[in-house]
Amino acid sequence: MEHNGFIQEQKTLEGDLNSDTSHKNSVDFLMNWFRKRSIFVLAYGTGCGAIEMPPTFTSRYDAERLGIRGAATPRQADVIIVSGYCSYKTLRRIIRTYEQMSNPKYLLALGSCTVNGGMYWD
Amino acid sequence: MIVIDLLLMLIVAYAVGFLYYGLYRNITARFQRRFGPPVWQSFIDSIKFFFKEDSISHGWMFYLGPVIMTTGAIMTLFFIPFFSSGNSFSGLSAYGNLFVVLYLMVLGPLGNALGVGTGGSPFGAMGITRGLTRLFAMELPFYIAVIAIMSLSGSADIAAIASGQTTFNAFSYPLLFIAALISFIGMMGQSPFDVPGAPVEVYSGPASEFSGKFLALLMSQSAIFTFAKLVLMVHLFLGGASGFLELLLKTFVLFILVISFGAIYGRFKTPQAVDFLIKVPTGIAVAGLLLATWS
Repeated sequence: MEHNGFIQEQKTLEGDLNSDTSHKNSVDFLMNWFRKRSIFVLAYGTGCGAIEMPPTFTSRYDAERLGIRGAATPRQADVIIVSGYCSYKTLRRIIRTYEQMSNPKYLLALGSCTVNGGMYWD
Repeated sequence: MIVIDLLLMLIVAYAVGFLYYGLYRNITARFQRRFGPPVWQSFIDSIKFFFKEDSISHGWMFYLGPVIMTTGAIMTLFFIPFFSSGNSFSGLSAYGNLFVVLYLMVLGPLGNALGVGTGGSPFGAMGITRGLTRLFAMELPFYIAVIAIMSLSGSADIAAIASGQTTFNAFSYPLLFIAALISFIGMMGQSPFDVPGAPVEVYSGPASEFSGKFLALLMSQSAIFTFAKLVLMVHLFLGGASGFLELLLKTFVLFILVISFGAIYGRFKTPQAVDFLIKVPTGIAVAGLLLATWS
């Protein structure tokens, strides 16, 4: 087998996503259809990235036409958006909030500060 | 046969209630210069919550809270006939009159208050204390107006009140209608009387600790209860309905009127709301009652 470097290695790691048949019957299709049409977002405005979220949810780039709504509590949310740098204090609270959400749940990291420190890296 | 009748009433109330909420989100969006979600978005929201894999529960009373609320909503619906005459879609209205309906309307929120109390969330407790205080104030003008209508029509049977109106009660007794309408705005959860469930103030108040299937049940009962209350107001004040089209048209017009109020006004605090409701609509209702019975 020829070795194409990074791309080949990535392919062996990803496997073949289309051959995953564990979620393919009609009930799963129905559940996924409902789940993707209605997403309740807990906009957890941790840091500086919080300013990007209100324009997305309000009148100009309306997120509600896609079924995305802001959730009032983590109990009602599907997705939590962490949008800035996390100190230890913030991290403890994010973990508590994430544990209050019910499955299936997703966490979205917004911005470079959340991913690797961003402009606060040093 | 009555079982099929009740089942059809339930399905109609569920479907129409959620469609009205979808239209409400669209119309509010147009007020705010944007497009809204598709009309069936409220169905999808509530059914998605049924598909959540787990729902956190805090004991048997917490479990019973939404159940009691749904029971109250569905029983209220069953005792209100859809049409002012005839046997179809009359539900259980032959066995209970307006007194039973008025009693069942408060059963739901009271049961839910017990359930929310065991949830342990302080926002839930704040929400239900505010909600029950508001309910106490809201009932006063509504009951004065409804009892006035009952005595002026000479009957406590909803179908009889609906069919006995030559001109709409809203135009014959306008003060009673205005008092009942102000209360009705609060019953539909619209501004300026919507502080118990406000998302930015009490983190959705009573609903703050419910997740998964409990929340789905709360949303479904909200749709059913909305339709039941709209039909009741149509029968009491807008002359009832003799066919589906007329019923849908009248409930839709009333619904648009109520949510237009909600979209425009800000929110009263609970003491402000109670103060207003005990003084202004009650005064209007009493004035309307005196005017109607002395002439």
